[in-house]
Amino acid sequence: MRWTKVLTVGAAASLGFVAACGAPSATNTPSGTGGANGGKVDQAGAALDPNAKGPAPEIPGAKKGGILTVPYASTPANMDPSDQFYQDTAVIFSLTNRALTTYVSRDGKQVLVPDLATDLGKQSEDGLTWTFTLKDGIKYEDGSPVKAQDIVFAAKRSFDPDLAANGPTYQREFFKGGADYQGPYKGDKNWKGVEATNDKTIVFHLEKRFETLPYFVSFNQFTPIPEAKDKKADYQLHPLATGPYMFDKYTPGTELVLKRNPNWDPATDAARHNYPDGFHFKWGVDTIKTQTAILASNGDDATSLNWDPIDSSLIPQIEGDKKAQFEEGPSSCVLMVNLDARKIPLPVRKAIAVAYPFDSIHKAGGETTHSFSPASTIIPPQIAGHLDYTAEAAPGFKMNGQGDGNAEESKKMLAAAGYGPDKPFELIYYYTNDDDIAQKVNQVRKQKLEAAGFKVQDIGVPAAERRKLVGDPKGKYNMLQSPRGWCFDWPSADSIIPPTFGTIALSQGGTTFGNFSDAKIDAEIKRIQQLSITEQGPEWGKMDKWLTENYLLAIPDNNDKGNSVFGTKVKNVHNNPNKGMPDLTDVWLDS
Amino acid sequence: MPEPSAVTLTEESDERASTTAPEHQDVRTGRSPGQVAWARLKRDKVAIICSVIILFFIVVAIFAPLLVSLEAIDPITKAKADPGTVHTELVDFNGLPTVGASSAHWLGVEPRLGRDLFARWAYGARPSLIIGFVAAFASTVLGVVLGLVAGYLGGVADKIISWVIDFFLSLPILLLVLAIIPIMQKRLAAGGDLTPEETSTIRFWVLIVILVVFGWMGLARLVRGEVKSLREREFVQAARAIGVPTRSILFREILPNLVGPIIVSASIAVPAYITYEATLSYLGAGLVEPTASWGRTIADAQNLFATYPLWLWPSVIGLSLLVLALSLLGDSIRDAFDPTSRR
Repeated sequence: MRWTKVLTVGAAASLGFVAACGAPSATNTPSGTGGANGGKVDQAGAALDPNAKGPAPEIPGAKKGGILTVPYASTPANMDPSDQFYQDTAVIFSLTNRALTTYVSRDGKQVLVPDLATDLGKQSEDGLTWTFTLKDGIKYEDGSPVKAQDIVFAAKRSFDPDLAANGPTYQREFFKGGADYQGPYKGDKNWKGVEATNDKTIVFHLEKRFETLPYFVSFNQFTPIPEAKDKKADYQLHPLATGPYMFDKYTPGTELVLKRNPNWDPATDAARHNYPDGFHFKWGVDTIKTQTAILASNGDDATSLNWDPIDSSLIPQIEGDKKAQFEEGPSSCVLMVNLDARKIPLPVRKAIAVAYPFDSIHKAGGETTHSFSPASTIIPPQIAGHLDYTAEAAPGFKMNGQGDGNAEESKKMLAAAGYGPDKPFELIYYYTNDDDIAQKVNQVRKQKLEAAGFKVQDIGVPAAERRKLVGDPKGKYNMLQSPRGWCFDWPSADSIIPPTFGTIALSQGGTTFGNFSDAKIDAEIKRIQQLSITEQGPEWGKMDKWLTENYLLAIPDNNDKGNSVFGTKVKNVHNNPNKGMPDLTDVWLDS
Repeated sequence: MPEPSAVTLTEESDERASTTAPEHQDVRTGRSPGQVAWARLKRDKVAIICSVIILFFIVVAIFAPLLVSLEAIDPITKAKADPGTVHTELVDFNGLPTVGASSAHWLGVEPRLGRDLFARWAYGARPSLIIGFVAAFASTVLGVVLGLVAGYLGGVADKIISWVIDFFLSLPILLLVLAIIPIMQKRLAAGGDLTPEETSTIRFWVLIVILVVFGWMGLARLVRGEVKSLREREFVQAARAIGVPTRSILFREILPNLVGPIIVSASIAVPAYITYEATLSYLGAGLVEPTASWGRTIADAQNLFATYPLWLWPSVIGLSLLVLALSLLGDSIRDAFDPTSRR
């Protein structure tokens, strides 16, 4: 999932494999116990409940009515369900469009439940065929019935090189014949990677095993689109709704107003509520002004919600008397200090880990305690199988993404590795020189690393150019190459470790954590991927620790947090730890 | 860039001041216009006050290291303040300073980075003043030379130079400057990789060059007009008739008559250029980290103004006061050189 907030994270485009985790729980406990689970990170973000039935249990005390206004800083390029693969539009589509599966929040935990399908899919013996059956009585906003063919058409449409240019790429990798397929308009008419055997049954044919397919079909790429009503590039102006809300007024690049969808049947929907009468999304707003107004909560601001990172000047308010108007929680992104292990030997990598000024860099970057939490692991805590360990770069020096580095110890370690003042180890990296914050962060990093005995060559380039330079495995740098971090697409460690530490990305001309190709790492990835789903989680956790302790290809830095600021009348806002965004389907408005 | 204003030497607003009789003795003493102006300037209170202010900033800029070293040693960092070193131990996790103004930090420390704000303020006066004065000097020289040549030679040379003047005056300068600076920076780097210090040095000289390139036209046009009329005067004709070389005529006969307008134009250019440097740095097209610059500080500090006003005020006050003093001094100089003003 691509990142839409200010932080620059080298995001997704990963190759996922196997692994769903957590025991399926069939209990239908009431959801939405209120959003105050603050900084605590819950595990098992990936439970499965194939038997969940609608309607979603009522939230105690929730009232109907009102319009929730959602102003935020970025602007979606379009609202085409085949194209959009961003966090903000995923939240909007969760209100209007239903996919085959979806997530529901139960006691602060995310559970995958069937949405348009009757269950979470049936896998064939060899694992290469998945079958989903549609629920009865699902209708579009215009009253026409949803057919299996419509979901097949949408899946095919997500291959279109023009209509779905920004979409995910998993379908290309896993669906049979997907690598070359060009979609329903330009592609092979006889392509059978996804097909409908009748009006109710969808069959996915795979190239190789894809255990996490049920997670993948929760994306808006798998919301039904009737072929007869597809207007190609203009479909984004009014995608046909299947969810509790539908498009009322949409001005591309400016705003979107949603109203109730009369043809949505709550009895078929295990995940969604429809408390507000409508939603009003406003794009491209000024963050500081918006957040200040929402905290003041006058007029419409009392029924507004903003999900941009909280501005540091407002922190005294949200830590003080406006505490109830702020919600934070983990997001799906993990950030690392990336090193090029081909150019920096292990003892020096450890010295960098000892010297690295995490606190100073966060302070200089204006990152507040509300925008990140320090990390000591590669796998974030909300993922099942996360092993909570803290490795040591040197005896007594924990790598936990905290502290300001120890220059003395680092110098000693460099001396032991054969580097000294007369023969310093040179660190080379690119930084963005057309952004004020990046310039300041670089000043801090450079001075602190120099104080720790390194020689630093900091090469300033414009942001657009830096993206290209740090993504080239043959680049001049020896640290801070892409990716800066990784945002998982579904809550399982197999969407984190194989694409970022395995050799595949490197061999395809991309950069990875460490830019390192190692047979033992690849063998371990392969071994874990062969395991059954329940066994994989803990094994990924062990591999995480093994990688950091023995290789240290990248230094664990922090886990990103999602923020929500909302008016006094907005109730039951809770952060979705797999997205770093609030679950809008649970929000209600007090009158 | 406002052209260093084409000064109108015929200002008639001073009739009311003509009651002060003693001034008339100036006119009769037979001194040069420069001496007359100097005598007048010395008696102008505004000019004196402005000069003192300007001198203060020049002293601050020149002796910035000395002034900064007068600050006490910080009890937390155990270090003397300097404009570059970051001390993140002096700010909390949300980036706000944990120490206020003290004997170690006369103006407190910078949010997020913990650099000493007095040091950044004192060193920040340097680029402003250097760029202002160097660019004003260079653009004056360029303007005078081209104006002299165009006005005296006339003909094709005049046509070409006048066309160039008109062309440069018609360019949308701010837009052009914003576009040119990164391009020139890239050119000068010649594909090489730049550290921030190199980038800032390049930006510094690029700024001066750009201010000169876009700042000479006003003066050139003024000088050209003056020369055109002086050229036909008797003393020039006489010099020509007895065979004085052209260079001597230009610099010996004509130029001394233009000293007034040139000084006035230069004195008005300095504050204009200082404002330009600050504006461009504020917009992100000027100086970059780690160089201290008032324009950059203002840009950084404005968002935190509500929580930490001490960051913004010194640079705003410094910049405003310096520009105001230079502008008023320029005005006074103009008045002093103006033969029709009798103050």
